[in-house]
Amino acid sequence: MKLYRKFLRLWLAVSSFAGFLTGWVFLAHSAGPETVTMPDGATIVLDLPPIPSVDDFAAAESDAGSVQSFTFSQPSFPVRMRTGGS
Amino acid sequence: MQYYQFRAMNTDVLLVAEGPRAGTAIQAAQSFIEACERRFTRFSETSELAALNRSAGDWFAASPDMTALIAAALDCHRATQGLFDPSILPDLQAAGYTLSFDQLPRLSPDPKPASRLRTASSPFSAVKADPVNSRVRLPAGMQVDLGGIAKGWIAEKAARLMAGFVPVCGVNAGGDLFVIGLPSGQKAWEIGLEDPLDPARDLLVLLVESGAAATSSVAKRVWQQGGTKRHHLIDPRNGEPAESPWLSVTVFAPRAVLAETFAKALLIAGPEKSQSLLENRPDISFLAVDSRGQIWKSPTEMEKIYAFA
Repeated sequence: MKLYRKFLRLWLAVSSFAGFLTGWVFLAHSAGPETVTMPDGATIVLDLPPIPSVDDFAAAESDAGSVQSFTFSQPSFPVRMRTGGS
Repeated sequence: MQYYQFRAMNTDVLLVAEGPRAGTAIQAAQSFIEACERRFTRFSETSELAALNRSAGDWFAASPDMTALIAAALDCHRATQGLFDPSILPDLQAAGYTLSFDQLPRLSPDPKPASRLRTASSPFSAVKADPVNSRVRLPAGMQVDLGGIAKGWIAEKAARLMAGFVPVCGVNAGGDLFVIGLPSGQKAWEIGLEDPLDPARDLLVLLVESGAAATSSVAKRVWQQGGTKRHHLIDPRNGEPAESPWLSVTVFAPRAVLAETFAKALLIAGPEKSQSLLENRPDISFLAVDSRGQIWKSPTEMEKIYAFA
């Protein structure tokens, strides 16, 4: 019985640690959200649907029913462009 | 006003549009920019530029865009008295810039090659661009890199494409930017001038009403080759990364290709030669920043540009 208890404790400890490690590895390798960084450092989460091809633009515009919804982040402050070489 | 930022041409691209069709304008510009990147990159064997380089010595059936860009490069080569020169590609590669900068090791184990004069057998002015027949001919042995002009050319073309949808728009391709119209309630576009000594902060805020601005900097795209600091701005006179008292030069011009190529040429030229380079060019203004953080201004009157700390 004593041996059984010891084994049970050891098994619980090992399986808890293994579960913790597995979760850690999984989270560490999961993809983060796509973001856009504005020049003043503010970060906005971007949520864009697929982009149609350039040939679709004129047709898509004339057929309002088929226009794909395209959501842009609109900050309430003016975005300042920057120039500094690339 | 709508904004969209994405990564292309190895840099951050910001699209700005104001108007009811801003979404369509931004989608069109993004598709155009990504198509241009595939066409003009030197880092893909399947690009049109790679095919053009492989055809050196023969006429190459080029796309209208490639023909137009090479013709613009020839104009800018002449206007900058040869200091903008796309045929420095072998020198750029010898300096260690052989991969897309995102993939380039910052500490190259390769030794720095011995200094040498340029080995190009023909000047870039010997290139032929034939827009009527949409073809280009590079002299035999010549290899060109369009990295010194393509971003500006693409930014202006993308902005003009957006202007077909919206009255107000701007494209900023890694600091090479072109703006059309004025944002509602604004008298000018605010452009932050990055401090080359501290890229996280703006040195100045510039107010630009329209047209192009571009910056060349020796503080960007820097790596070590054999223990020697190297950068991507090659002086075509000796084939080596340029040595200049200026860390960055920002040029304002009516056309983006002029802004981008003059920014490079002025940085390479330095203070002494810059005045002769800008003779008879009232359309071009510049700001330069030296290693002490001191700002130099062009002698031309900067009517449309107001800078404040």
